Amino acid sequence: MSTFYDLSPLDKAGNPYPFSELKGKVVLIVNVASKCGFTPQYKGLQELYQKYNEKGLEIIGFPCNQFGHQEPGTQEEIASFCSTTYGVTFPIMKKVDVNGANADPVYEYLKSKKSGLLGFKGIKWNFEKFLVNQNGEVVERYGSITKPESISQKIEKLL
Amino acid sequence: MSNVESNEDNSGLDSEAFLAPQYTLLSSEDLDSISVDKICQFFHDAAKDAIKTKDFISYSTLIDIYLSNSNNYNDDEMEKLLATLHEILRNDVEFNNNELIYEIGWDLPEVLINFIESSSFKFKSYLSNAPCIKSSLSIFDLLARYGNPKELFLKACELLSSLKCHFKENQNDKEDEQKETGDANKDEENQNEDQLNLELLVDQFSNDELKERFFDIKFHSLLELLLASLKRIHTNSPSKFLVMAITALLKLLNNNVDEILNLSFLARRLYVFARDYIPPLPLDPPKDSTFDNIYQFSEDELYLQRKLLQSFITHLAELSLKYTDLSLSLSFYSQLQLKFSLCNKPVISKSKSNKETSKNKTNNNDFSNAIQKNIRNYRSTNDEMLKEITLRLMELSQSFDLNLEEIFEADFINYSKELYLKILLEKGTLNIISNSIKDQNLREEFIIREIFRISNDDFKRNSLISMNGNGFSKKIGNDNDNDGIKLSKIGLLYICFFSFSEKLDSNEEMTKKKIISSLLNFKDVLLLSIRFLIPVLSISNDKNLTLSDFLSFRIAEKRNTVYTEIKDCILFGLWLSISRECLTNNDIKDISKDKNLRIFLKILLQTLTTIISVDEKENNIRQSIYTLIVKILSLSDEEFCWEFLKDSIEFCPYSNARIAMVGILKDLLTRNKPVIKDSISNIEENLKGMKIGENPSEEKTEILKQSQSQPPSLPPRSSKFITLTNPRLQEIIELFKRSVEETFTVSINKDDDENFTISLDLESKKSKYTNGIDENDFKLLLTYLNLLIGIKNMVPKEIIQKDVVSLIEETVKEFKEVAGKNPKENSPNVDLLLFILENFSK
Repeated sequence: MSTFYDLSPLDKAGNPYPFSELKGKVVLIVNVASKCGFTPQYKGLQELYQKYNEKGLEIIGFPCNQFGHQEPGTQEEIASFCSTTYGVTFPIMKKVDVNGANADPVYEYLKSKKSGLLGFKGIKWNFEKFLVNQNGEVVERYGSITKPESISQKIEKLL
Repeated sequence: MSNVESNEDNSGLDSEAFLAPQYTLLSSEDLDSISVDKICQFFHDAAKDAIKTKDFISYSTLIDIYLSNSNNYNDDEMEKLLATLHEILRNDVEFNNNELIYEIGWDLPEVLINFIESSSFKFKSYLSNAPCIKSSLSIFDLLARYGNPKELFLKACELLSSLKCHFKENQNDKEDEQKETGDANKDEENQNEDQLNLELLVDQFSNDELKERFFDIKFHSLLELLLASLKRIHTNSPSKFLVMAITALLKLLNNNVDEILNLSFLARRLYVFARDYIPPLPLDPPKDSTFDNIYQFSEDELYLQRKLLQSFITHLAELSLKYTDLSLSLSFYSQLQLKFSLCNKPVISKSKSNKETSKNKTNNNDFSNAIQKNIRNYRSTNDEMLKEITLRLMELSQSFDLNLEEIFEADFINYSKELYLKILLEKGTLNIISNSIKDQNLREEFIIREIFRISNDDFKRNSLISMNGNGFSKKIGNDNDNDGIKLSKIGLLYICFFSFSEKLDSNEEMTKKKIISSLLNFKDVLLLSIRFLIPVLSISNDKNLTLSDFLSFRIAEKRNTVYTEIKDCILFGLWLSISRECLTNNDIKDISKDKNLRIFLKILLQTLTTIISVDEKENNIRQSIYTLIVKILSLSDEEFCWEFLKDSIEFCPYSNARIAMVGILKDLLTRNKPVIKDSISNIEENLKGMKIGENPSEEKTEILKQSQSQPPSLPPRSSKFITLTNPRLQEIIELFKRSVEETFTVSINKDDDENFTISLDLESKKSKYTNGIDENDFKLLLTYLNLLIGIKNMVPKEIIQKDVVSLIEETVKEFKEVAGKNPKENSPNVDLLLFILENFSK
């Protein structure tokens, strides 16, 4: 996988979502879960999305059940939860693995480009965030405890 | 006003010399004579002096004198002393820029830990109401925030390394309670002492469990102190602090794993420590840095911390599962039962029958049963929690970049092959030596001995923690020495197998098949099984225990289950590979024909037989292992299978195993091999025979012609797993005759020098009948008869009549005549044999 824009994960319906469509945009990629202590971050993410989407920010959520089995639902249940509980309008992709042998290529790519605390590549928990600039470069990686609103300054800078 | 005279001019002399007479070193008698109010006053006054004179050592000494032994005070007095100390330290923070707390903090954690446990607290209200808990925690909080972080970090490590959960006071309590109860019993006749003792023992267990909470609080306080201090330290070498922390925490776990009943609390906190670990701040953090980029250390430092954390979680897995059974194999076996309807009722969990005991009986067995029930119920909750922690550790290992697939392949599959290479390779040294031994049995014995030696040596090398309490300091304790940072092999084994189980749990049937096909083949698991099962069985059967170990139900209960999870993982692996074998059908037959590998297979089967005979107490696990043995044998080469069963029946030292083996022999002699696979292979052969490009209509016509000219083919001939040949029949009859002899006439006596003598005389017959026929001998004989009934249609009638029916009839008749008319009450009823003989004439 040579560039970010070559990636093409599956959306919630199982259709390819080519990242080539994201060229020129700032992208925030988050692994999400519905039953996690950090789940309220959906609210902050949606606010970021509403505030900056028109200016060129795209947020993409990847549901993942690899941390404490906190995303056990089906694709429909996840989508329904996001829209009804937090009014999420940014795209939520198909449920994926983010660590291990079956990790989604998107996450293999992101992890290879930006390590976490102490240089660990693996995703530690739900709601870790990768920020990608308008050239498709992974510029920041934020841990779960970093709230979406605290990233807004960086996003504005990139936009 | 202070009673302490200024000692400003005396610096350099022994500080104790300058303490005012009111609080210099005192004998215990002196100490008794001083009221707590007075001591509190000393503390207040001396604090003021210490701040004034900067002689903090004297103040530390004063605290040490009065607070080092909490047993000198009752609960109220202890509360008062700690409240005073807390007030002094709080005032220090508020008015003196926390100078006192910074200087004397080092001495306080040990004092506070001693004050946390109250021997008088009855656990009838919340633990927070226990004396000194709140005040101790408040002082710990001040220490964590205002103490000298490096000193307190070291002190927390030191205390955690030596913290021990002990139950001495409980035993005293128990004796007191028993004494009190005993006094009461004197006045009450017909009191059921057994029942009372039983209740006391069960209460004792519950009390121990509750008293463990004090240990939990001590551990929690020290860990929080460690974490808070670590956050306040500034260093460019964080790995030095991390190595101290994890060494202390693993020592703590290792020191207490044999005693603690609720290990999940400890394990969970240690898991969280690893997950949430944040290094100390660097000496010069970059300006405008955020949490996500402030921790800029050298590559070496980052690498060391990563390796240390990886090592920590694998050792944590090893130690926390030392006495735990995750039941991975039973759970998978249960799924197989449901899928293939192996029996009507699938096994879902460990058998309840073992856990439940009759409530009304009060015999001696009920004591241990009730206690075991209590412990088991408690442990099953604890095991569930540990299972959840194992899941989290597995997830964390992936977050910490441990590639489980690669590790499993390298450390378990490939390493196991390498380990036995000397035997397996044609030019392997041990193989060459063994080939020079001409006698086949001696050669096999030589190889078996070598396999045992290699396996045990390897296990000792790889489980230093478990074998030796100081082992991990050798493995991870060398500062900045990469070679010293090792992962726990046993911990990794648990994590890897747990990840297999997770994969299977979370996928649909088709995906499961793919996963099973990709996971493990039988040959790999065979070597892995030998590598781990042999040492584990040696350890769990070792009798090197002191008398007090045996008397402690806590240890006795746990000793039976040590390393259960290794057995569980291996059995799970075997079931996985058997499932793959059923899907792809390639390995076991070849292995059982191979000159060297068949020895490994034989050892595995013997080890499994030993587990069901002497080691495993759970009926459902034994049933699953029994099924596993049958499954492996049925997939093996027929000659190997026959030889193994014959050997086991003849020489296995466990009578219950011999009975089981005769049952298996009957199964394999009478059950038809499934023919479905043959049909599939025929189809495959036909497909292979077809050539691409040939005219299919011509082909069809040809086949049609052939089919018209020949009669319809017969259905495939069913064959048995073991064919009953004449020589085999002869051997079975011989074994049967020997069983008859052993049951009725052979008496085996063991003298003081461990020599065996066999009597074949009339007296021994009498002795058998009067002393009772051995129940196991009789059961074995019945199983033989059951086998012979099963194969009677394949055996010439005259053999059945002469070697079975007549032999039994005559033996029973003769035996009755010799033994007289007063058979022992508990002796098996030999008439049952005559009744069974009727089946031969049907």
